[in-house]
Parts: sequence; C-alpha cells; structure tokens
Amino acid sequence: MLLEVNNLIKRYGDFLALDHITFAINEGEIFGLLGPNGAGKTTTISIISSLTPYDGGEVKFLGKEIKRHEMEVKQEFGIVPQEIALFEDLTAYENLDYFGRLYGLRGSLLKERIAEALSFTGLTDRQRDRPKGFSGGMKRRLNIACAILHHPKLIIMDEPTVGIDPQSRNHILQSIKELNKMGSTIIYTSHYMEEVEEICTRVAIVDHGRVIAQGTKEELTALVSTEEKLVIEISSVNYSLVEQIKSIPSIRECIIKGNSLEVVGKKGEHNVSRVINLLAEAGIEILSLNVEKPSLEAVFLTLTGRSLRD
Amino acid sequence: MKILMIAYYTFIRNVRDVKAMVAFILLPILMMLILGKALDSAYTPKKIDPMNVGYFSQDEGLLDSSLNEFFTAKKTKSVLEVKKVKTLESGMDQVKSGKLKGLVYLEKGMSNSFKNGEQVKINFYSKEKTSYVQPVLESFVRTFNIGNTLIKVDGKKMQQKSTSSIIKEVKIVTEGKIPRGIDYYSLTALFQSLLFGAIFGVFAITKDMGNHTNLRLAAAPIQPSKVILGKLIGSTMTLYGISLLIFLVSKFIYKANWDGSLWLILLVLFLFSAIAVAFGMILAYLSKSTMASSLSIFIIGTVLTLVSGGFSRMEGKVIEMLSYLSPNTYAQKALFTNIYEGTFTQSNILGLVLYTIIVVAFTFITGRRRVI
Repeated sequence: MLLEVNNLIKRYGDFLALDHITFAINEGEIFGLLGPNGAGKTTTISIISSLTPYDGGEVKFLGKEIKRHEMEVKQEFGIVPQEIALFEDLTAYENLDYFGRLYGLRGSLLKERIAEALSFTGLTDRQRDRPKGFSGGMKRRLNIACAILHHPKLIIMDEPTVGIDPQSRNHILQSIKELNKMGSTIIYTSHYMEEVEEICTRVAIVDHGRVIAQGTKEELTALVSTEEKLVIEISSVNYSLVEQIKSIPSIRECIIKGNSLEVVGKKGEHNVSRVINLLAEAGIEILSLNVEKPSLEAVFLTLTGRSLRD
Repeated sequence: MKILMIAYYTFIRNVRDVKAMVAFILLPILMMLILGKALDSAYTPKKIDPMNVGYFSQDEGLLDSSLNEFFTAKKTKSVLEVKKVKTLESGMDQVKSGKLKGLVYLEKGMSNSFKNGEQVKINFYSKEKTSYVQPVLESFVRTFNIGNTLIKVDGKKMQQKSTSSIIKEVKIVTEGKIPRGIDYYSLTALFQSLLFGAIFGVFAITKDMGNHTNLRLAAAPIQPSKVILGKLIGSTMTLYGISLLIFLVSKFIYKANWDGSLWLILLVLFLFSAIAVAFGMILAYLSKSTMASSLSIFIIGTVLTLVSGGFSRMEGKVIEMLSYLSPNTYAQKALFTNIYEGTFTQSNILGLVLYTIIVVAFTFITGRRRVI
C-alpha cells in the first residue's frame, strides 16, 4: 500500500470539514477524489501534503506516519495545487530550476530533468519566457512540470484542469495517463465527473467531509444501477412499434429522438434481445445500438440526492 | 544550498521589479537633493552684518584701553559696530528701545582690581538670550588673560594671581566639521528610504501568497525557517545593494561628507538593511496583505524617521527617549560621530546589532505562523 488515510478528522472551529475520511491507494493507481465544491477534497490532499494540520486519524506513506517523517515523505510527493503556483517574474526554466533545487536536484541531473519536464509538457520552446505571457493552459502545464521534475512516487493533483480550454484539458489528461504509464501513482481530485471517469482506476466519492462510496467505476455504478438505457438508431420510425416496446413488462420508458429510440428498462431482463426481435419482426433496420451504463454523476445523485454541480 | 538558492532567486525577482527598484533608488537621491538644498541654511554658517553694540566704561585703566583697542580692530569691526554711550542709563534705554542690540559696561576700578588678582566681570546687557557678542567678548578675555600671563612670566608691568577665565569658555566649532544640509540629509534620507525599503521584505512574503508559490514552498522538503532565512538574505542583499548605490551617488555626485571608516559605513548600512527587511517580513506575516503592510511601513517609518531627526533636528526629553526606539537613531549617530568626530561609538553599533537580532528573531517567530 502506497498511501493509507485512516479516520482522518479536521475541524475548523465548530465545522467538521473531514469526518473520519478513510481510503487507501495502491502503487500505480490513478485514484480519484470526486465530490462537489466544499466536499473536503482539497482539505484532504492538503493534509496529505503536510500543508494543513489535522485533528485526528492518521496518514501513512509507505507505512510511515507523515507527521513523523515529514521531510522524507515530502521528498516523494509532487504537488500540483488547484491554483497556478508559479513565480510570474521568473522564466519557465527558472521556475523549474527553483523547484528542482528545492527537491535536491543539482548539476547535470537537474538540467536533464528540466529538459524532460519541459518536453513532457510541450513547453521547451517557451522555456525562456515568463509565465506572465502564457495562456491559462500553458500555465497549467508548467504547474504540472514543476511537480514532476523530481520524479515523485506520488503526484497529488488538485483540480488541475480548472478554467482551461478543451484542447489544453485534453493535453493534461493525456499527460496524466502518460505519467501513470511511466510508473507514477496519482491522486486526482475533481468535480468534473467525466475526467474522473476517463482517467481514474479507482474513485472515492466525497461529500460533506465523508467518503460515501469508493471502488472502481464499475463497482460504484453497480452499487446503484437498477436500470439500463438503450439508444438505438433506426432506418425509419414506427409509432406503433414504440407502443409495442413499451408493452414489454421490464421496459419503463421508450421515446423517439430524431431517428433514434431511447429505451429505459430494468437491468438484467434481456431488454436488448427483446427490443431487437421486435424491430426485426417489423422489418426495421438497426443502424447502431448503444447500451449506456449509469455514470458516476448518477451514482452521486443516487447516493446524495444532489447533482455534483449543485 | 537551498537557503542560498532561495536568496539568489529572491534577489533576482526583486531586481526584476523595475518599478520598485527605480522608486527606491530615485526617491532618496531626489530627497537628498531637495532637502539638502532647501534646508542648507539651517546647517551652513552665514555671513552676518555687524551688530550694533553700546559701550560705557567707568574704568580708566588697562582693561578699558585694551577693550577700546579690541573694538577698533578690523576683525572685531566686521562683527561689532561699537558706539560709546555717555551714561549707563542712556545705554540701557537704547538697549530697551532696540536701538542697540547690547551694552558692554566696565565698572570703575576694574583694571586695578584685576591687577590685584581679583576676579572681575565684564558686564554685558542684551534683550536677546543668545548673542554672538558673548563669544566675541570671550575671545577678548582669553587674549587679555593670555597676554597678561605672558607679562607676568616676563616679570614686567603687571602682577597677576589668577588667569582663570572670566567668562566660561564656549566651544567654537570650525567650518568643515559641521555638516552642510546635503551632508545631513544624504545620511538621514538614506536611512529613511532604507526603512521604507522594508517593502522588499513584504514582497518576499506577500508575492508568494499572491501567486500561491507559498504552497509549493510549504509542500517542499525544506524547513520553513530556511525559507524565511533565504528570503531575508535575498531581500537584505537587494536593499543593501540599493543603499550602496545611493551612498556612492551622494558621495561622488553630491559630494556629501562620508568621511570616516568605510568599513563602519558598510556595516551600518548592512545592519540597517537587514532590520528594514525583517521589519517588512514581520508586518507581512502578521497582516498577510501587501496593502496593509505598506501602509504600516509608511506610518511607522515616518514616525521613526521623525523622532530620529530625519526630517529636521528635534529637541526635547520625550523626543530623545522616543528616538531610541528608532533604528535610524543608532545608525545616524554611529555614522555622524564617525564622520564628524572621527570616533567609533560602540554603544550605537551595539544598539544597532541588538536591534537587528531582536527584529530578525521576531521574523522567525511570526514566520512560523501558517501562511496557507
């Protein structure tokens, strides 16, 4: 186990920000902390990063309590804060030089790692420029470069795609997958369900300072999904056919959207084969068929009664 | 190594802040020029018109003839225009009415009394509390006493039992040993601007809060005290560099008097720069705001400069007591005594060193507060 968080408690006066948060992260994972704003994600990773003291519980990295081995543990962490944390008056190269030296890199190794980090984030051509003139996406990439150049065992990323364009966001998500392939373990917090679904191998859903569910995406959706949704693109729409589909006992709803049928029914009742048979009998050609599984958004909604973006 | 790296980059970041650098270099240079020229008359000896003084003597001996001779000498005439009055009363009336600035009066038989070794006094009446007639008369008395002592040694003419001064001797300063306006304000304006240079200490903290790099520093494997020390060194070197530049400008362009030990000047400027930066860092750690810290620096800096005589020389017991709270006092006194008296004042240097230790210690204490 790379990181263990057990019964973590954090209070701000009377407000209980973290209420016995517990989770564990294995080496090589991309672990997602998913939750709405104010759920306790940033507080959790601030505590893991030794930035914030805590009131109870324990955090262990490779079996060592982080409070007692603070410097040793910090050396193995790479932090990508939610805010862009760069010296605006230093060049991209100087920013990396600064943070590389803080993590003990020197000489040719430092130069090598800076070049590697710049190349990885696609900023080699802009290394002599100051971040003042960078776009939001470029700043975010440099923010990541500063955290990875010392090859940390655990990279902690707090909403690293906030406020950037889709292209930069995609670049960052691909970079995270690449880092993971190269052997880094990653904690990724976000309130963007799609991002977490796309890159995380395991997810903990956090709300009101508590972990309300955790596991792989499949495990989480299995917890709550009792229905499935079929989206079928067909050659022609036949309204009497809609009524026939609705008459299947396990089907709850069938609506027409353009040339598609959206069919919602109970999971595990062979709805797909039943609907296909009806369409074949009616002589309607099936152009495409997609079985949509419940999203983490749906999981969150079911568990909390609220949307992630509420 | 990490401390030096932080110091280096803190210095680089400060130097790249062109607006701040220009302001902190130009401001004191202009202040020296403006204050030094505008208030130069308060420090430079002026040429004065001869003073209108009355003289009435009832003595008919050597003292009267010597004083008459002294009053008619060319040098005396350049400062005193002596007019004989007929009676003591008319002389006094003219002093009261302002026609005469003062009246010199010799009593009857003074020369004889002096001859017999008795202590005699030349009377001088004036409406004004201070008058330069007094030092002129002192000059006469000294000359007269010395002259008669020599006569006694030669054993001629006169007997004299005592040569003690009739009027208590007053130290007379000579030109070149008193600071001109530019000399005085080169020094005080430098320390005032260095005190305002505390803003570099503020920047070292609040800029990192503003751009969130304090998060990275707090998450990095380095003790917070080392980060504080690195920033303190970097900002102190920035301010020290500025102080040396201003020192060179005032010495070689304004020709201000910076005589005395160069090492002492360098030491005082370094300690003062460290005090100012540490002071700024304390304010930034406490307020976590550039605006609040800057305002505090302006107010506190102005008060500390004022009580130390940075704007104009101030007198009074309360001011004197308050002045010891200001680091400017120790720094200015250390350098003034070094430049104008050629002495090394241990107490002022010690005061400055203690001040530095206390302020730096407070910086580390306040810096322990979490800034996230």
